[in-house]
Amino acid sequence: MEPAVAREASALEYFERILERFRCAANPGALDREFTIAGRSVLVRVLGAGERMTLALEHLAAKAPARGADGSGRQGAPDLTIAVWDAATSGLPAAAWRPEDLRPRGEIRGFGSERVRAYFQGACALAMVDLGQRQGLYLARSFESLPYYELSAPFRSLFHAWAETLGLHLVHAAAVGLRGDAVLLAARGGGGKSTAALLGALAGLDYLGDDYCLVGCKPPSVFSLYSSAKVEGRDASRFPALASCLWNPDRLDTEKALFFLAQRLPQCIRPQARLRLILVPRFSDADRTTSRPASPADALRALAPSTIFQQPGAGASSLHFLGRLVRRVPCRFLDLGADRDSTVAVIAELLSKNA
Amino acid sequence: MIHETFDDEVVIVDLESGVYYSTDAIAADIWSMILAGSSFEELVEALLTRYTGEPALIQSHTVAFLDRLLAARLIEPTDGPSAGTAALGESGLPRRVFSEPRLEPYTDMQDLLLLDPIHEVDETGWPAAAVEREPAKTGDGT
Repeated sequence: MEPAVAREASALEYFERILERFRCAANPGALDREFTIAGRSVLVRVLGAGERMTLALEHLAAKAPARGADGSGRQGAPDLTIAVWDAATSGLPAAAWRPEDLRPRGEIRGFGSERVRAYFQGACALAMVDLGQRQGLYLARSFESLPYYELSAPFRSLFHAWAETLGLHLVHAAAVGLRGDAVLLAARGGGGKSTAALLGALAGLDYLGDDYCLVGCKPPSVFSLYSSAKVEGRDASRFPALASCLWNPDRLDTEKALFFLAQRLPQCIRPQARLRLILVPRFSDADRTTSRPASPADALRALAPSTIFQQPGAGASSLHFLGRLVRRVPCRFLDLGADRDSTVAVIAELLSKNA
Repeated sequence: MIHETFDDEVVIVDLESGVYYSTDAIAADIWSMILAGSSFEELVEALLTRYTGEPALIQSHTVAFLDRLLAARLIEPTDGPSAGTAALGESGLPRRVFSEPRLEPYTDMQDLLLLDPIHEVDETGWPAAAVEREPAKTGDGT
C-alpha cells in the first residue's frame, strides 16, 4: 500500500490539477461572493450559471461589496476560499480513483488525509479541500440538474472539514433563539425540527437553521450556516407567509418544499448565538407540547448518528466532540403536541428560563 | 465502531452497519471493563464485587451479554494477556442490584448508509447519476 505521505501528495497534486481548470476558465472572471461564517471570512468564487449555489448563504453575506476576480482590496486572505463551477465550463476531470475506492458517505479512498479531503456529494458534485491552503473546490456535473437538497445545504462537506480546524463541528440539527441565546433541536430527518424551527421564526424567534449548523463547545455556541428550510411538500401550504420564497413550487410531489428565507425574514435570521439548551423533539399524542429533562446520552443519540452517518469524514473525533457538547449544555426532551403554537411557546419559555 | 461513555450509559455507533446502540449502567460497566482489557474471569469477579445477586445468574447474564456484543461485531475475542483486575467500584460504596445488562440497537438511520457504497460509475469514473438520493431521507412527520 502506498505510504500515507505519498497518498497525500498524490491527492494534493490531483487537487491542484482540478483547481487549475477553474483558474484557466476564470478568465475573464468569476462572480465573487464573500460571506462571514462563524466570524470568519469565506470567499465563494462562482463560474458559469451557479448563482443559485449561494442562495442559502445570503444571510451571511459580508457587509463589504462583492469583490472582483483578483480579490483585490482585501485586508488579509479569506479564511476559506471555495471555487465553484460545473462541467459545462471545464468538463469533468479524469478520475484519480478506482470504482472500488468509492466508499459510503461519498468518501474516496486515498483522499482523506489531514490536509486534503475529497468527497462526492451523491453523484452530482465533487467537493475537495486543501486545508493547508484553506482552499476548497466544488465541481458539479451540472448546475442545472443539481438536486434541491444540494442547493439547500451547499458545500456542506467542505464546511465540515473546515470547521474542524476551527474547533467547531457541523451538526445535523435545527437552531432557534431569543435575544442572543439559542436551542438546538436534535432529531433525525422527519423528527419535527424543521417545522418547529420555521414556526418559531414566523412567531418571532431568531432563526439559525433548520437542518445544519456549526456548533462550538468553548463556550457553547451555535453558528448559522444556511437560511434555507425544507418541509414535506404536502406541508408547504401551512406556510402561506413564505410562498414568495418557495424555490420549487412545481415539484412538491417529488421534492420537499425548499424555502430560501434570507429575503423574506431578514429580521429574524441570526448569524450566531449562545447555545443554552439541546432539545430532543419527540412526537406525542398530547394536545400541547411539553418538555422534560433528558440525559446527555439521550441527546447524543439524537444528535450523533444522523450527524455522523451522513457526513463524510466524521468518526470518533466527531462523536467525542458531540459527547463534550451534550455534557456541557443542558438537555431536554420536547414532546411535540398537536398544537404547534404551544411548541413555539415552550421553546420561548425555555430560552427565557435558561438565558 | 466508535463509542462514547457516560456514567450510566454507553452510546456505540457502528459506521459500517449504520446501527447505533445504547446500554444501561450495568452494560456500561461491563463495556468499561472490556475496554480496560479485563479477562472474562476478572470481569465477573469485579461484577460480583460491585453488584448483589446470584453469582451464577450474574455470570450467565454476562456471558449472554458478551455473546450479543460478539454477534453485533462490537467486540472480538482475543488471546492476548489480560490487562489485570480493574475494580469497578471502590470498597465501602453500597453495592447495586444486578440485572440483565441491556444493549438496545437502533436501526432507524441505516438508510443513510445502506444505499451506499456507490459502486456504479460512468465512463469518467464519477458515480453514476442513477444512485442520486437525498441524504437523511425523512420518515413520518414534519
